[in-house]
Amino acid sequence: MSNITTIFWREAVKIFRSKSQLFSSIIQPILWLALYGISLNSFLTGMPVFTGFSYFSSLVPGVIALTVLFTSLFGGIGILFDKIFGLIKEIAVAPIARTDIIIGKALGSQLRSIIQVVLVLIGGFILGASFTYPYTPVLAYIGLLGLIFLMGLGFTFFSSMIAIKLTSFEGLNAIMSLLTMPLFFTSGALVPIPAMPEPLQFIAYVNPVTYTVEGMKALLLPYTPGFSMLTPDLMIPLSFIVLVGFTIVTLIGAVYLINRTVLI
Amino acid sequence: MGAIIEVENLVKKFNGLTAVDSISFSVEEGEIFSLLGPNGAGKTTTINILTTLLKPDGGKAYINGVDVVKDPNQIRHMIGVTFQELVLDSNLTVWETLDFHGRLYNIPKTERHKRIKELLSVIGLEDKAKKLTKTLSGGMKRKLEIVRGLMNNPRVLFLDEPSLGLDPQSRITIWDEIRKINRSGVTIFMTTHYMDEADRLSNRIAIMNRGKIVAIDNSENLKSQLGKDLILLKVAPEIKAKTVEILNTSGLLKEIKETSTGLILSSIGKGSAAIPKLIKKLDEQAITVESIELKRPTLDDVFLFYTGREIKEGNDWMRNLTIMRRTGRLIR
Ligand SMILES: Nc1ncnc2c1ncn2[C@@H]1O[C@H](COP(=O)(O)OP(=O)(O)OP(=O)(O)O)[C@@H](O)[C@H]1O
Ligand SMILES: [Mg+2]
Repeated sequence: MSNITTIFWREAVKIFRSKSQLFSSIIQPILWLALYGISLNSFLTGMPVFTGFSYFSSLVPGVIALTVLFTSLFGGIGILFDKIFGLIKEIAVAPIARTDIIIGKALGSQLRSIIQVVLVLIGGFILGASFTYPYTPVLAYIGLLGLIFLMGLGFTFFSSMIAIKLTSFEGLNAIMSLLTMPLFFTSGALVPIPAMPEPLQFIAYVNPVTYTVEGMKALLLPYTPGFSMLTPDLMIPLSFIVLVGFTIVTLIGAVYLINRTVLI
Repeated sequence: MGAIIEVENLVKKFNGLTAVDSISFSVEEGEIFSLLGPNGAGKTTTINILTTLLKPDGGKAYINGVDVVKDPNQIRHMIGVTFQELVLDSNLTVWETLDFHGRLYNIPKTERHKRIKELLSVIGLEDKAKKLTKTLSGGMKRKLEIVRGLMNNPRVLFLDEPSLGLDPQSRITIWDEIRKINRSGVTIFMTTHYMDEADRLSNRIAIMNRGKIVAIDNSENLKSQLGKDLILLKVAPEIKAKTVEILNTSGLLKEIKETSTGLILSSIGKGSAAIPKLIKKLDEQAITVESIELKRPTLDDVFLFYTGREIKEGNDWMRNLTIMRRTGRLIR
């Protein structure tokens, strides 16, 4: 445990040191909200599926998920940086399990995600988001943090696997855009899942981001047929089950790979 | 004192290339041991195996009796390492760099902080404790890396080309630090391709070439093995073989080695007395001698003698790249 804390500590120091990076990474989600959200808001709000809340408000969970997705897909890439700049060697000659490196780094990435999500939420409220909270606001936000934490961990472990296998930055950008865009657009972040064409719906069901977005919607917005995937009582536990599963599977994958790869 | 590092028939291959070719040696506790060799000799690969970063393809290596393959974690507690290339996180301060390292070894906070202060005063960087490592000069970075390896009080400190890319002044201060560390009881295993560094610093030197250790002894013995005097002889390449044949029959020479640039002869008696006789003999066989030189053997000659090549030869741009990275002129 203390080894995980050590790796996490270095990540935390670096996060708070490069505040500009922290802020610049929320520019994109805020722009999504401000430009895409506000411009479509007057056009879509009032459609039958958006009763009792604005389209803009329904976009906030999606944009939060996008923020976490981006940060997590790059979170694991820190391992590639450490490999290329040799920093991994300092850790590799120390008496520390490689699993601890994976977990410590991933927790660091979640710290970054959570700070960003709080900032995006604040931005959302300033721009006019309002939620109905089917349960209570406190439960909603605890649940929301849990969902993004799990999804973030899962995708950080996933990107760690990529980082362990890569030996240069070549091809990294292509891999990242090939992952982010499809994961985002098939998650229900922009378009309600019941409103998607069938093949896309099928992809949405196997996309872990869907369960974060739909879980958040179930915590923040009223249940609406045609908008919600399932009733909140089903959606929220299902989201947690799927995301816990996703996190465990990716963790096992990353641990398997790092223990079988020469890191230098 | 006994051996602290023991290596037996160690082998490491990289897709067909044998980087370390069945080497054996041992390092005594408390000594400064240098692995001297040109680019690609296999020095870093050897260190990587001893420091548990790479698994060997054959042979055995022990540190303090512990097998490096079977019990890497126990080895990691006993060693400190400074890598060939710069391995400093540019986003951490000097203090944080050492603090992070101490945490990696689970050193309790008060002890850790005490140790950091001690080590910073050793290298005179106390006033830079709160500065980011990227603001340090190349020499300071190297010193910081060296003492970082001491945070966990290692038995053996591995230094891979500790003075690579530094100016002469910084090199000398690095040497002083290494001696100081050694006097405090830490065994030093270092690599270098600088003759003077190996010569001045180490108790014993192993000369490594193309994956093999070709000679191992202290600097004085290595030199005296070549005889008191060395004769460096140059002839046109096409008559080299014939020259060697003739010289072999002279009865004046202990050994003849061909190198890329000429021949190295070690004489049985006094070199100055042998030279006129050799020239006469070659002259009789119509061999034109381009130049002939008599000198006391230096470590350079020892190296040339055992490897047939000068240490400076080889792929220089790779080294320059490393130096640039080290001094921050490239990536950082
Ligand atoms: N990871 C690797 N994959 C393939 N070949 C490698 C690898 N590491 C080293 N080699 C090869 O093994 C040989 C020995 O390399 P090594 O780095 O040990 O040499 P060295 O003595 O440290 O050289 P230098 O003075 O340039 O640092 C070289 O030919 C090198 O190209
Ligand atoms: Mg090397």
